[in-house]
Amino acid sequence: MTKHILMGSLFVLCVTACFGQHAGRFRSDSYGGLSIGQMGSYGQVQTVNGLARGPWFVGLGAGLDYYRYRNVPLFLSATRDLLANRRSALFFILDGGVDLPWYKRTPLPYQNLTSSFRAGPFWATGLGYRWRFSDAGRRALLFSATYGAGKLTERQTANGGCYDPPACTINSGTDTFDYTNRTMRIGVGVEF
Amino acid sequence: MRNKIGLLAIVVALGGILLPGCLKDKVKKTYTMYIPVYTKKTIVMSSINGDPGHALAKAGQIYIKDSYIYLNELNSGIHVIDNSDPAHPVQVAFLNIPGNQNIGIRGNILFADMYSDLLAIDISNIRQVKIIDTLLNAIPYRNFGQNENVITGWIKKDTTVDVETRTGTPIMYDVPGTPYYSVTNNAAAAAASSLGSGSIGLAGSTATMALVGDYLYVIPEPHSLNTINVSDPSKLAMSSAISAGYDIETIFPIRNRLLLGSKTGVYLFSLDHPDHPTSLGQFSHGRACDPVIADPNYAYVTLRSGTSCGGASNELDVLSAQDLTQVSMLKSYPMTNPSGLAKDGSVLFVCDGPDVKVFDASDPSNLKQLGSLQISGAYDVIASNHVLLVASPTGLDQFDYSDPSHIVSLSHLAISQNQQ
Repeated sequence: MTKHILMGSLFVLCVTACFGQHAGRFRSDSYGGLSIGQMGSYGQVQTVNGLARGPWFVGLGAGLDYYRYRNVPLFLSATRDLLANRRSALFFILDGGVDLPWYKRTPLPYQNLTSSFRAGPFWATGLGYRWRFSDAGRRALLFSATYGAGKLTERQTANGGCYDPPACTINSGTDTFDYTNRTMRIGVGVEF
Repeated sequence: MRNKIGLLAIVVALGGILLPGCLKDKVKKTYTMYIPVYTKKTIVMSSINGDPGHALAKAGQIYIKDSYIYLNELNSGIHVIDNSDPAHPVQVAFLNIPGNQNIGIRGNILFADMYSDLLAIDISNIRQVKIIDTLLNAIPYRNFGQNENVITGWIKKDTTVDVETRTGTPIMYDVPGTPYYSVTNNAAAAAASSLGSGSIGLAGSTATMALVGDYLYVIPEPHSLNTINVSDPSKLAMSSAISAGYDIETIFPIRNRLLLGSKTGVYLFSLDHPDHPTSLGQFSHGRACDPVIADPNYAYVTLRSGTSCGGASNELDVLSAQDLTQVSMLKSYPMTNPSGLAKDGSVLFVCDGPDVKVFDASDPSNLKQLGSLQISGAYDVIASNHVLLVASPTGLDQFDYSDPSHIVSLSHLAISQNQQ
């Protein structure tokens, strides 16, 4: 997980540094909305901060998503305006990074169990729509709809659930679960 | 702008129509499975005399008879340890008995389970034992389809499978170690025990098999009690099989009675007709795991919560049992996580989490703790002739309790941790 974060951070630094050399301006997009998938609809928020230049915007994003198991996506986000005029634009979104788990399983009383989650890859792509409050202003209302997936890995280790005391060691074991959570995210946000 | 909003709406709508198939989560489960290796029973039984140096890896039930300790190697066989000098126990033999978990000895005949079968073994010469009879399917719950064969090993294999995703609130998947996950050792018949007979050995309190007179009483699964006539060890015969209660775990004989410890209480059976025990009633307690022992006047029950036992009680209950048909609670003592227990005279030993606690039980309504022995995970004890035998995952410890307030360590027989 540390390796993923370091590589992602390094990539973001490189990209933003490149943009910086070409006089990009700082921009912050923040959204709140829903992650919708097989398990139902859960709340999610995210913010992307980076540099914009022309139709491009590249930034580092971080979020909080309650879908299935609470997680924190940390990602590089790139958007490009497709159809734009002075007040509004339709733009394409591409996000990629890591999904960090922020969830602790509480086993049932009879489950003598330890559980630990590990991070996995995260990606999302979709479309957004921007509507500026004024022709010259930087503030805008944002709408987005993306589809993507985040992967979390859980290791569950049973610590000797046991009927007959001497036989405890037989029942110990570790299972690994890989959860690939596929969701559609819709959000409403603001741009500064 | 309307066109753009319309386009976005169309994309979202199309997504709503097309994406549900793509919104199915994927869950993969990786676990370790064990594939049994079968060997012909005839081959297994002809090679019962194993290597005396067989490593001690997974200790199970303990049993003592004369100057020998019989220590079950879980599902593998029985270590025979010469304990003439408790300060220097010596492994002298190993009996290869796949699936073995339990031991009972009467005279020179050792009774042991081999998965679902019961073996009668002549141990006159412990280094060259002989199987003199086999009762097939005496413990049917442990018959894993091996009528001609027996499981002698397991091949470990890691496997990954797709798991069906449940919708709604996240819940636990099947968890390794829970009763629903894998074949457990639940149905074992365990070591035998009896009081008042010089020819019968002594078992720990977690036994699920007991020898009384000419009969061997076995808990074949958590609801039944089987009676096997062993008067002629060369002709083992099933006498009766009765429904005995619920969630039965241990068996303890006292006078002409049987106490069956269950997760919800203690069941009492009369042995007035030894070939067919009859129920005398039960004493109920909260749900917990509970080995039980008794002396002529009192029964001692440890209740342990956690794991598959359920419940939240961790205590030692002392029951007034002068009249076994009128058992009543005398007093309850709080414990940490108690398991096996043993009593010799007025000294009571209780395995309790990280310790084995030592009590002066002269007055059962007012137990006085004399001390404790730090043996983590100790699960069973036998106390006899001032020598305390303690079984734990780390090995077999012996102590001299001639002076219960000043117990002296005699020896430690280590279990090979790397083979656990």
